[in-house]
Formats: sequence, structure tokens, C-alpha cells
Amino acid sequence: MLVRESKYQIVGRRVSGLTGTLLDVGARDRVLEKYLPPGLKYVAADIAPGLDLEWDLEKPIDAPDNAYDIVVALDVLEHVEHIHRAYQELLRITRHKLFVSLPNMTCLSLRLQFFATGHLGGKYDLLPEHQGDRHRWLTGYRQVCAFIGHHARSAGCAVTQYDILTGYSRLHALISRLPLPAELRTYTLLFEITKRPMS
Amino acid sequence: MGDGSRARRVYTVRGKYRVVAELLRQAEGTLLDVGARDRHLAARLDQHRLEYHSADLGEGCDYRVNLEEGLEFPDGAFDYVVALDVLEHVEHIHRAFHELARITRRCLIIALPNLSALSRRWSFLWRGHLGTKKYDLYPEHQGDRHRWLTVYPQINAFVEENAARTGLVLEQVFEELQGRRVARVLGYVAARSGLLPRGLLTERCIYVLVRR
Repeated sequence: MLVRESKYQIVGRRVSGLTGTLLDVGARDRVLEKYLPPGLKYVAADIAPGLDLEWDLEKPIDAPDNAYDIVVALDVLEHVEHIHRAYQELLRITRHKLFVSLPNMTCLSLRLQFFATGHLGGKYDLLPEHQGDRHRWLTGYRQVCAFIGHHARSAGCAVTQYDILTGYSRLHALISRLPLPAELRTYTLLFEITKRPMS
Repeated sequence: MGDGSRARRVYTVRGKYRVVAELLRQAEGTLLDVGARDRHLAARLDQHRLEYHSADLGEGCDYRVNLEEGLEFPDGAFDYVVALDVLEHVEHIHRAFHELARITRRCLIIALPNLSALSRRWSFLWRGHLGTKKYDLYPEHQGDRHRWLTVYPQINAFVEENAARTGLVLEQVFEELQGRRVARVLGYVAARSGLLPRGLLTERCIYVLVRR
């Protein structure tokens, strides 16, 4: 469905009323925490030190199956070379719901930007020195939907898709209001993957 | 950025193997072809003059190497080292470049594709696809893929900077122009005359780096 809320707002809305533990993978400055209801215990994980857990998603996750009631990974998987394994690992440690978001790099505003400038954004730069963190996958709308859906179905999960229209540039703001296919208007894809209904 | 070097730029409508074979026509000594696949380059070289060695990730070559992990050759092990369309596959591209430079005694030849060429931009605009499967995200990991979006100004700056750091001098850059027949000739004229932004018609850059 097409939405204009931010990915944090949607996650916050969808988990309201739920209880248990929510794990935020790639939490950075714990921005998601502000959007969550008080009944949930928030645990933040990131590759950078300083949060509750220090995890490198390139490696298998050191947690048992179904370890967390809710797992959230917002704009994280595109940074990981072993994206398939990382996604499957997130599915494995999720007890009820997994939220995954990925940028839609094939929205019309980015297509136009790349056509005009030959530059897709700083996250794809090849600089004289390795910049460390970067986007390792070109996450286009159709391939992302197929990728998320394939593994979710294999794990017996139901998927709800949110096409988030809100982007950063003025050009995108304009395009997102035009009567175009969702693939061209969507800036971020958010998936709510439900493993089994919460009792 | 990236095109202010003193290296001679040559526009060519020939393919990378032909360009490299012609460059090495007079060369003597040893050559290591990294990412050699089916030893395509070997057939075009005079192997009486130049001793050809192939290296690749898989089996079937003289040496099995993994550029992600460094190369088990001593410094200056080969007179000539060639890596055509290889570095963009390697996550540790900077380290791999330094390793290639380290084992080079005389000359290192590197080719990188330009993904910001006009045809790629056009394809991405209309299809949301760069016209190569090397960037695709499939339900299963495809193994070998392009790990870097190598675009014109950035590949030039990358090679220039890292050449300087490894004691190599960028002597020549061959710009392989895209298109077929008429388009290539038109591209050649446009590129030579400076009518179009630099790199717009360049399919691939072939960098010739020498140790002085």
C-alpha cells in the first residue's frame, strides 16, 4: 500500500499494543525508540559499538531461534554483502514480526538523477580510499519485492508491503504526487513479515 | 575531478583484448593475467617473447588466486600484470589494486567498465536496470557480481591516486568507445572534439601504469 508516513511511524503504529522485546538492528542513534509504545522492551544492535549489542550482520547472529518478539532492520540489509544470509538470520531470530526496509534505488527521481549526472548517491561512491560503510546492493523495486517475498514464503510468513512515498529531494516530492506506477513513486520499501500471529 | 592527469588519453573503437595485445606487442618477460577466465588474452600474445601465466578464482588456470585475500607472489614477481574488468568484482578493491601494483615489475594494465556511459544511463532511466545482470539482487546470491558502481570520474581518480601511492605512473588511458560501427565512429569524433562531456561514450577505461 502507498503511504506517506515515515518508516519509524509505521513500525511504531504497527507494534502499538504489543508487548515483549523489540530488537532494532542497525539502530544507530536509537531513533526508532521514540516512536515505540511503552509496553515494549527496546534493544538496540549495531555494528558500531556503544549500543546494547554489537553485531556484524555479515556473520551468523549469535542468538537462538525466535529470540526476539519483534525484530526491526531499517535500511540495513543493503549494506551487507551476505544480504541473503543476513535476512534469513533475521527471520530465524524473530518470534512474531520482522520489519525490513530497503531504499528503492529505481524510483524515478533517482533514475533522472543518474541520467543527468552519472551519480547515484554517496553510498555507491568509489573513492580513492575505502569508505567502509556503503551500499553493497543496488536495491531496485521489483528485485527487492521478489527477494523479500521469496524468503518470507519459504519460512511460512505473511508479508505486508508499505510503499513509502516520502523522500528527501524536491524532485521526488513532485514525482511522488504524479499518477505513476508505484515503482517510480516509492522512495523506501517497508515490509512487515509476520511469522505467526501474536496471542 | 579525475581527468586532470598528464596521462595521454587515447580513444579507441577496439575491444580491450585487442588494445592490450597491441600494447604488449614488443613486450618481453613474464606476464600474469589476473581474472584470466578462459585465457582469452593468451591467444593474442606472442608467447615466444612474453611468458603468459593465467590466474583466476576458480580452477583451470596456472594460479588460483583470491584478490580479496591478497596475492602470494613476491614483490615485482611479474614484468607485466594485467587485470581486465576484475577489480569491480572485489569488495577490497583498494587493497587488491595495491597487491597488483606490488607484484608488478614494469607495467600494470587495468581495465574498468564505465557504468555512467550514456547507454547505461539511458537503460537505467527507462528500465531501472543498468543493462548488466552484475548488479542484480536475486532470491539467491549469484556469487560473482560487480561490487562497485564504477563511474567515469571516480574510476579515474581511484586509479590516479592509488597509482601514486604505489609508486606507479599512469602513462596512458585508452577509452574504449561504445556502440557499433557508425555509432563508434561518431563517438570517436565527438570524444576527440570535446563536443560531449568526458566519458559519456566511454564503455571502458584501460589504464596503463608503469614503474619508473
